[in-house]
Amino acid sequence: MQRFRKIICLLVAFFITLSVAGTVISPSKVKADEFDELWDLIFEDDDDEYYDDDYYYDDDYDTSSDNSTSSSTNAGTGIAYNITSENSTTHYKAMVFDGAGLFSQTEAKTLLNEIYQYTEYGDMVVLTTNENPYGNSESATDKYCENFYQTYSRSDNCVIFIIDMKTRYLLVYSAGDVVEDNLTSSKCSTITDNVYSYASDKEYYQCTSKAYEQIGRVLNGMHIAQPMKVVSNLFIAFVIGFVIMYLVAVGKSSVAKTSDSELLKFAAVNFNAMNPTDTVTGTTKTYCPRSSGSSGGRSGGGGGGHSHSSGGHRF
Amino acid sequence: MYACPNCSGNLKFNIEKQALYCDFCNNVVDPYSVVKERDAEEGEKVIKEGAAGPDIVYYDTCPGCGAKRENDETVCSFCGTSLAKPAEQVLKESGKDLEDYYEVSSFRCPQCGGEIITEDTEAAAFCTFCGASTILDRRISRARRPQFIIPFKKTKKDCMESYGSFMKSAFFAPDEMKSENCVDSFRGIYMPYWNYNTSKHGNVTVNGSRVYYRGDYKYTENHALSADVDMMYNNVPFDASSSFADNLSNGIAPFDTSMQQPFTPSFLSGFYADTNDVDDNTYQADAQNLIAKDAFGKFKKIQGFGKYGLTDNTNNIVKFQPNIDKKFLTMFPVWFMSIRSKNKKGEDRVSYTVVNGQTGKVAGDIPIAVNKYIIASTVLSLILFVLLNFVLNFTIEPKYSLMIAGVVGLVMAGIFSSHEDNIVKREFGEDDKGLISLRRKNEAPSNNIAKKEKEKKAEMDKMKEKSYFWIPLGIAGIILLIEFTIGIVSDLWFYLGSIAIMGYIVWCVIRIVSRYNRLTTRKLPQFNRTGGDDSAKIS
Repeated sequence: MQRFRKIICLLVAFFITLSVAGTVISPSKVKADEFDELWDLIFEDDDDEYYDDDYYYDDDYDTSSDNSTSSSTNAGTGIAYNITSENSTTHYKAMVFDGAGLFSQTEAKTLLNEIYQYTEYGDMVVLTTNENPYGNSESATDKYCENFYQTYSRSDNCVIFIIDMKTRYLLVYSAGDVVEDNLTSSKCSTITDNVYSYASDKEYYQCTSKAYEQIGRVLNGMHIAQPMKVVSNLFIAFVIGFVIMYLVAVGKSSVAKTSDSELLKFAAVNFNAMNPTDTVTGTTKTYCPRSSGSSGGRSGGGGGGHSHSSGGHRF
Repeated sequence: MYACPNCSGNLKFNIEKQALYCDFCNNVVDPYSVVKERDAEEGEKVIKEGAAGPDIVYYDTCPGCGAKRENDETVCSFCGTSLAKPAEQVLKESGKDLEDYYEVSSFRCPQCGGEIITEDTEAAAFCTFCGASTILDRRISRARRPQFIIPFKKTKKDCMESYGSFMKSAFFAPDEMKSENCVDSFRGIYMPYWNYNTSKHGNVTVNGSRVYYRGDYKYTENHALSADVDMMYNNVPFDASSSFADNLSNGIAPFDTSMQQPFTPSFLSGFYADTNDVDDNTYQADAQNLIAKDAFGKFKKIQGFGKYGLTDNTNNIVKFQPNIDKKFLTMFPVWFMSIRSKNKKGEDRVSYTVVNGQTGKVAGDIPIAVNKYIIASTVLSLILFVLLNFVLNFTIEPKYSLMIAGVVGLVMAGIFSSHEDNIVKREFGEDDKGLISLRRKNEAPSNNIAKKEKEKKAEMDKMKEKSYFWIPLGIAGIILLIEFTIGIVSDLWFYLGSIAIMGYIVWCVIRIVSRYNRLTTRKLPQFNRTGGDDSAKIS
């Protein structure tokens, strides 16, 4: 018994070590000076092509905002900022559409600057809303992003991070081959898992900033911390492993039951059935309307659809 | 012993030669041509109790001095006369024909009451059924003469090879079961089987139906399907020994009864034989049901009957129940190994492995070594983890992780409870019809059958260990209830809940495996025969 206890203790220790390792293998933080360089690059370097000319307020989107910094909303700071900056080399845009008014002007600008650096991969969007017309379910948030992408981005690669105040759901949405290759649904879920607690604490700027920090790492081919994923998978693997092995062990150890036909294999059997008759003894008739059935034609083409990956978390 | 006509050496049945063989002069003798000679020692040393089958009947008063028999005495305490009635008298009093019986040397284990027949006096040192190393009580007895016998076709070497292949796939078996000492303890035993010859003649009608649609109407057409059935199923065997567990006898079936030969005791020379103590009615209903199911299956295959959706329900099957024409005993060859061990509580347990002496098919109680199980499970879990985490990139919300853990936890609790039912049934011998029938036969008639059954059920319930199913249910239930009613619950709680439930699952599985080993070992058998005594000393 002591031996089993030792084995179980070892297992638990191993389990904890793996969990801790999953947490510790965290991304190295983006250095502060890198942010400074980026800031300089966009706003202070007169010679640079990314400057205020490419940085503008957008009034095309989100009817809840009044297309300017003065529009008020009922969440966060109460002020909605919709700002966009375009990368003149790739022509991808960085966009912050704060329909829910969760950011201050400074925060919105800072976020725009932060996400701008990833526009080499595709459109980078920060989206907040408190009026999701698609409902209250988590899939409504996905539809909202889908609609935004189809209407306002339309680029071949796009990443959207949305804070949906109506459904209380965070979502990372990625569309396009380049970003989808890295930013898979699994990665999207992991990122939202890692940052949802900021949203729960109403630290929306921190939440978005951290999310894009991790999105950036993924797009750059770097690793991000996936403690939740590691822990979940470890749970599932151990549960399935122990149960499967139990079934195998019992299957290998128990006495296999001999089938009835096998039991009679060597019996001397003589079975004759003569004069078989089939007599109808009665018929019952029940009204049972059948569906009209399909026309057999092809279903209409949905054309124009695109694949995307997404993953989210409630907050 | 069977004496060699050339040198008077001891003839023993030789499997390869399928005849009696003399080890001294290499003489080969037809088993039907020899007659057993009475051992000199038998007449002098062994008390001839004279019994009809396994049941010994005693005089109420000593035939020598007339003293009254007291305290289950077998010998008169005054004059030393045997109090057992001679076989001839017992048979005569019960209206049986002496020709149906043959004289045997039987050995009875003082500990479990198991009885074995053999010509080999060395057998007296070891009980095959409970594994006890003890001096078995020897007596001359009379056993019911089997009508047929299937001689051993597989030698001990073949048996060990079959067992070896069987154990190769038993990854979780304890190493002791693979040791040479263990394998070497196989004994060739002829097991008694009741064979049923059955038949049924006459018209059988079964109701069927066919459904079809026409327009907006569903038509159900009922049919009476009948045929004049003339069927015969002969040689359908069921074991006739309470010492042979039903699951083991089923596990090594079938025996090819077309190879059976008329019985003569010389076939037993060099082997052991178990006595039949199970009534021929015990498995009669099972034989009839087995045959009825098979016959109904054949009936369904009659041309044109297949489309009427005939289902294997009791109402249909019972119409094919045959009549029993004949019941007779046949000896089937079985290699038998018993391993006696002590469990954690210090209780003696025994596990059996049997090999069909004709076909080499193996069945056995194979325990699971818990340490091997834990190691294999951990390795598999790590492989699955790598697969999930790195290959499939599987991600799941903690909420669903908790739900999965909760469901698996409840399933494991269900499996645990079901196991407990089986364990308790086996501990009480409720999973073996032969044992049940023998117990009922030996139990004193009682007016309080219902009360006794109730007491037994209470005792069985008391023996069952609890599954603690409320642990996964409670943990997952409370967290999910809060999540769905009050609102967002931190992931931390989902993970803590999942950890707790996973701990429960692993604990539950290990408990199941440990308890499963109770199923693969048995309590020392108590055959309720005279002499069966759990407290008897063993050497």
